[in-house]
Amino acid sequence: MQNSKVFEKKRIAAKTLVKHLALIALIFVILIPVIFVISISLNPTGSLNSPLWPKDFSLVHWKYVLGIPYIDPADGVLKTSPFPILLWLYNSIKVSTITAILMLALSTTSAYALSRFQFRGKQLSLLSLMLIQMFPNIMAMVAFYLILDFIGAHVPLLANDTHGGLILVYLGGTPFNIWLIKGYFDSLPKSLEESAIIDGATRFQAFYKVMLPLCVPILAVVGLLTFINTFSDFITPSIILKSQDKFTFSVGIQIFVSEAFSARWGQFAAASILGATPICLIFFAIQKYIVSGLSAGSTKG
Amino acid sequence: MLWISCALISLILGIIVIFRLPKLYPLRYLLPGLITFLFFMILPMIFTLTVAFTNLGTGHFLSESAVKKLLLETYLYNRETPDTEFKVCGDKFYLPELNLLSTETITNNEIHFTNSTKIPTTCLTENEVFSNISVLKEKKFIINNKTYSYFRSNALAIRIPRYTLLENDNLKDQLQNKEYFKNAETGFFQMQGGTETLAPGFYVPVGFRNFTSILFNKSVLKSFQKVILWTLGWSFGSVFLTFTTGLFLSLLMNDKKLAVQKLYRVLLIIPYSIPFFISVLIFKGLLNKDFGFINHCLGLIGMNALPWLESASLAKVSCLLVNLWLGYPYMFLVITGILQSLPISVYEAARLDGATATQQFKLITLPLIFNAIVPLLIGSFAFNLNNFVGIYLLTGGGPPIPGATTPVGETDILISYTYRLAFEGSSGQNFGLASAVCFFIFIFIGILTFFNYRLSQKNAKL
Repeated sequence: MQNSKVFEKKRIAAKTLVKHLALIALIFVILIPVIFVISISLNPTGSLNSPLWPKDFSLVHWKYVLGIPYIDPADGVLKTSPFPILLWLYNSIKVSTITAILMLALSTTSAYALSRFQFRGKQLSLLSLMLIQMFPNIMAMVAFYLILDFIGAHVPLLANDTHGGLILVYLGGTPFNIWLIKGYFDSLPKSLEESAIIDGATRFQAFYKVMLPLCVPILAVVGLLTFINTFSDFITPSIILKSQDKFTFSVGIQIFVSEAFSARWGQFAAASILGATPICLIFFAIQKYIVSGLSAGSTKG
Repeated sequence: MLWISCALISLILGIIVIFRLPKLYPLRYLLPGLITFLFFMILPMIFTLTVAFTNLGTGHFLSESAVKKLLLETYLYNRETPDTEFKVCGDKFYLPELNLLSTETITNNEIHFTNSTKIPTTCLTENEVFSNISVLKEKKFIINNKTYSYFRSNALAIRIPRYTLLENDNLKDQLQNKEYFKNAETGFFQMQGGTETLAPGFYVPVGFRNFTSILFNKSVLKSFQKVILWTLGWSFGSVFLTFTTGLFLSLLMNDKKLAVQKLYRVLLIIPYSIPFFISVLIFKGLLNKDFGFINHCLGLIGMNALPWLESASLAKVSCLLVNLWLGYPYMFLVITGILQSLPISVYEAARLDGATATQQFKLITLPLIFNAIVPLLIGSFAFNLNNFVGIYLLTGGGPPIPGATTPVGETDILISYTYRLAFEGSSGQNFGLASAVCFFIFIFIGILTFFNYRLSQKNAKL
């Protein structure tokens, strides 16, 4: 009896060990690309077929990416990167931050109306919001270009090849965010505003002073999601932005891929890590909410 | 200008009306989001719809009136009277060959000259002159009672328009003495009684031709069918692979006794936290045929290098595998969430009734997961139908399908096909056809979304 219990315990321990080993092996395989990119960014030769563990380490690619003068291992000459990679990153962060903030301002009020007011055609407008945002916006790029051309002739700040114009185009993408925020409003009890209104608040005050503070969690998530999506988009900015010093990171990094990819692999690796880090950090900070938000957005009516 | 003022005034009036009428109260809240939505969602959509019924594209980018204006401003320079050299000195024009200097009074853009007493010294260089070309082109220089025009950055010449507009609206070519009529079918000025056309063409409505060419034109249809099949295969494949992998991993990890479970979980979702455009490009490097890390590893174990992105079938496999890497963490996270919310009491009841672990899994866990996840699977399917980045950055749609008339590759899905039709074609850009394809995609995804919406409405009511 005792023996079989010990045996059973051992069996379970062995099973757990196997499970751990299997998981570790699996995770290693999955993370090879990430490990590889980190190693390449530190490998002075930095070609596509470098081994996973470099023979020697150097910061030459990082210096290149950060715009610090470096000694080119190929010819031993002191050089500086011709590409303003940090500026691209700054552009991306700037555009994404402004877009996220304005997007929140635009979609919160709409979401509130769709959640709280009863009006004719509400169900229909909800459905059409959802349908229209599914429209493939590849051809819209041409329209964006023409619209910005038109607006830019009168307001130079919002022309093509400006960050203002790019942000303006992004602000059209409200529906998805409206859906997410509306879902959250739906989950808040109506009695909260009703009591505020009985206490003499106007409807807008009830929205602004009672409901809005309660929504901070979802607003943070929607804001950061918008930030991530804007940061990651490369089609729209590649159509709208033309001059190199206005590029966003996602457009700029294409340069490494389009010409002599193999030779630039090390620089590309360092640049990728640089660009991915802010997004990774944000992602892990709001990871828990992203999942509940994403599933809520698509399951709640 | 009139147009804009009208639009602005009606916008302001609209806002006033909305803020005065209590009945329109909800609109006060909807308005801010609605305006950008109208401009950057609805307007582009209408634009796409309109373009789908035209032949807008390479060779047909301009409107008819713009093309006419362009042609009427094409000039022939008279070779019999010689060019006259000119210089821009201060605010005057100086003709060194004739020693003439322009007079002060300039009316109707006409410039007259008198004999110059002294030779001006400070004059613009040819490059500086060239930067003012648009102003110069409008001026008429009257020299010896003949009208000269700007010819090149240092010379004036007598010119005549190459085309003249006839009374029947046709264009007459003075050089070759041919008459061109407006062909509203093809969008060209075409030679009377011939097939010769003038470049550029203009855009014209073509009715349903773009749509019918997708459905009935054999060569377009053939590649279109291929694209649709792969689009469906790609979406189904991606959803299936990510779902099964996510399910497997979350079941494996759904063991509270498992040590460092949290660490594993974080490591497993790292692929999801990296921006797609970066990870796809990383894979493009890893899968490179000649230098890629993966073929390097294959070489180490004595295998031949594989053309991961160059052969039709392997490129498809690569796309699916990369998308699996990108997409499984989402499924993993969602299914883990569902598993954790499953009521324990159900399992206790099942155990009391004598159900085995396998039975519990098959009859309780799977159906419950499935029920909750179907809308997400449909959503993921719809997302992958339009997953441009996953395809375009990895393979660029390639390798090309041999013998296709439109730019199309073996791994092109509808959305990347549209992009290439619109922006990359080697035979030119075809906005009309691209817009028509957009509508096919929209109908496709629209039906899916509608279905999903109804399904989730039903779920919400349960």
